[in-house]
Amino acid sequence: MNKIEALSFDKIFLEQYNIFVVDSIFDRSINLCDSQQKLLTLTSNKGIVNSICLLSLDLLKNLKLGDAFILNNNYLSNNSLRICLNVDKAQEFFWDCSSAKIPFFQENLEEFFDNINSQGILQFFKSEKNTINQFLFNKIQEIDQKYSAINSFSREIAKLYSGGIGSTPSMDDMILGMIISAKYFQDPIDVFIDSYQKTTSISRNMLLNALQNRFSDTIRDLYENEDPHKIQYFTEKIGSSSGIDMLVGTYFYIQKKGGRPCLVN
Amino acid sequence: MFSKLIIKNNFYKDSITLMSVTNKVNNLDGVLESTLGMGTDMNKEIIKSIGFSEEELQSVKANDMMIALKLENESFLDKILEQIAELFIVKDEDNTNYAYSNSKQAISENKNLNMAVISIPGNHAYHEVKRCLDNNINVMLFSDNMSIEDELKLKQLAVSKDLLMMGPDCGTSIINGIGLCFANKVRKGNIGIVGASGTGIQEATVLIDKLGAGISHAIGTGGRDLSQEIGGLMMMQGMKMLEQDSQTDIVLLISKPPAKEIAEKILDQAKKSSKTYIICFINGDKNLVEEKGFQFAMTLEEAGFAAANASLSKVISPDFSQEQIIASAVQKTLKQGQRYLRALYCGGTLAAETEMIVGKDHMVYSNVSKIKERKLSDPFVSKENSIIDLGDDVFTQGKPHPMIDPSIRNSRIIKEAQDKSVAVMILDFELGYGSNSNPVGMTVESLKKAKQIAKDDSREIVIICYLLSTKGDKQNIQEQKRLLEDLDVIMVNSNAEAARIASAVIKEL
Repeated sequence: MNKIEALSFDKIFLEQYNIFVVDSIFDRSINLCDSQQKLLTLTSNKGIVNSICLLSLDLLKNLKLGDAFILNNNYLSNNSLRICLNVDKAQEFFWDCSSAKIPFFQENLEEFFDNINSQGILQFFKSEKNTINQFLFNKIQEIDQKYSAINSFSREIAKLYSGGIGSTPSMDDMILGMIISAKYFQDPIDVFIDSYQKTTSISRNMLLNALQNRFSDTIRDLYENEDPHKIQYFTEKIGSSSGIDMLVGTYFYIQKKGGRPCLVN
Repeated sequence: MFSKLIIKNNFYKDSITLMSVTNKVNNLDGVLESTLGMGTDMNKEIIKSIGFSEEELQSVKANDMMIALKLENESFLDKILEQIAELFIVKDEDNTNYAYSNSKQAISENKNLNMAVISIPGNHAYHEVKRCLDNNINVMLFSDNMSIEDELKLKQLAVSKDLLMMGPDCGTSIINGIGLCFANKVRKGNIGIVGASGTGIQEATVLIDKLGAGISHAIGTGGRDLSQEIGGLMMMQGMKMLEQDSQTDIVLLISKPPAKEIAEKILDQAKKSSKTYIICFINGDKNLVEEKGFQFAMTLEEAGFAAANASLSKVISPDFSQEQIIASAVQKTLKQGQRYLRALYCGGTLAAETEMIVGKDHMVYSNVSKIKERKLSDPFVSKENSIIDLGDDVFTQGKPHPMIDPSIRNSRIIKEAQDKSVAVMILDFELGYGSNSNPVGMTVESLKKAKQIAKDDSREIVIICYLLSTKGDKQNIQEQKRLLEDLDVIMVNSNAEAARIASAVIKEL
């Protein structure tokens, strides 16, 4: 049996007993879920909530969907691999969003969107539409026109949880950006709590973490930055379009909170 | 019209992939409309709204992918399903190329560009590079012949904008797994490289790959970056970027020895890093590096092993056990008077590495030597033990680099074979992106002829060949190996091994 030590890991996995099953396999990460659909991600990237970071995923290359791991006594094991979770490598992910540079985003996001890849929700505004994007775009437009108060706008947008084509659907990422903004302004977030359960397991865990003030390092790095190059860098590091979608959510929240429409044309 | 909903259980793809595939599916013959997306509640509602039934969608879960197709008729279905499967498989190698007449047009029509490779005559490159940097586009400048003043200005601009300006004369980079110019297909991993040497980066990345570790990024800087004038600006910028890169845990720096002041500046920056650093200043000052607390690698081979060991938490060393045995065996085939090495390189840094290794025990001459006494006065004429970089400007004026067209080495192989004092030849063959599709094939006839010339003179020449390549390279490595094996040459696992065997062969001749 191969024995390796995690480079770092989310502190929530300390002193736990649980059984996780391989749920999805990506190039740089393998997602495991327990019976409650709680996520454990094995990855070679540091600083991700719900993750155990390993030097390399090579030892996991033969894993198949449905393979099981047991988390017990600070070890995550299957029949060929034992990953030690050394307490010194545990990482806490608490961030209450109060240090987010929302005023800077308020000034600069429009220009930023003009200069960044047209991906995620930004595709809704372009010609590259499919049925799902077209539907969501029309919905957002309708909500934008109909609701001017931030609370009611947020409640209606939250009904679109799980809309979007990717593994973390664009609407979920957008709502995450709205949650960060709401937390920054110390606005109530209860409107966002209702329906997050119905989305993909990756997305559901991301939203649940956010509601509990737990964010991956790159999200925090993105929101604590005032350097446009670094903002672009971190935006592109978060998922394929998730970073952009979060910023769109933040932009919408800022616009609506300031009494302005989100979509001008 | 025929509608079909296909469900792929637990099948995740990111939104950009799905959008790209959707657009392609919509263009397939027989497709009226397609929608691809995860089977979340909201997406199911949307699919329902375009005419798919509740019953069809009932079993779909949030982690499943839905492919909703509306076709002209059922006869298109099988063919389209095959094509969709292919679209998912080939996605990683899917490149779309557009031709533009100038960089201004390319930039204005592609807002998302963030990397440009520029290969135009060096004296025209300044404005093209500046335009890219002004538009926040990183640059790899393959061209040489740029003035050092222009290089400094452009690198200062790049640093001020937190961008890369790799070059001039930058031959190799790997960014996010994409090889630029001459590079090998290596596995992804946690080792980042910044190097002022093209074939040096290639050799290190290939060895790391062979040892089972992988590369996050390999950033070329251009050969003059560590000069006093440029001050290592791009090496330090590359280090900064790797510091911010969460995929990188180990950083390997590769260069010929820089000036002491520049070396100290670089080592001081590394000192502040949270990453593990390995420093390969080929033939450089070991004490200086070790005093600063870093692992020093004298050769590219040492560098590759050190980085792979750090990545894999292992202690693996090169196997030297067979080298002396091989050298002793082939020594017996040599005639009296056969005394010298002729190393004919396509890769400049490999030539420099061989100069260092063989130069420890023998007097050597080379067109790449920085040591006055070793400098070959006429690179077209070998002298005693000669190590020639055939990629040097004097050989490539108006001709492609020998890695693109290795045939420029062929006449030199024949010429060396005619010299009765030649005992050993070293030849390198670089495979990978940018290189010739069949470099060995283009050299085989010359090698056969060289062997025949020696045979007619009742001699044999020891020929050592190094294939710098990985299993993933686009050329057929097995076929390249087979061609060499048929010629009965010595094949080695690294350039350093080639140099050590050659050095041992000519010892005491």
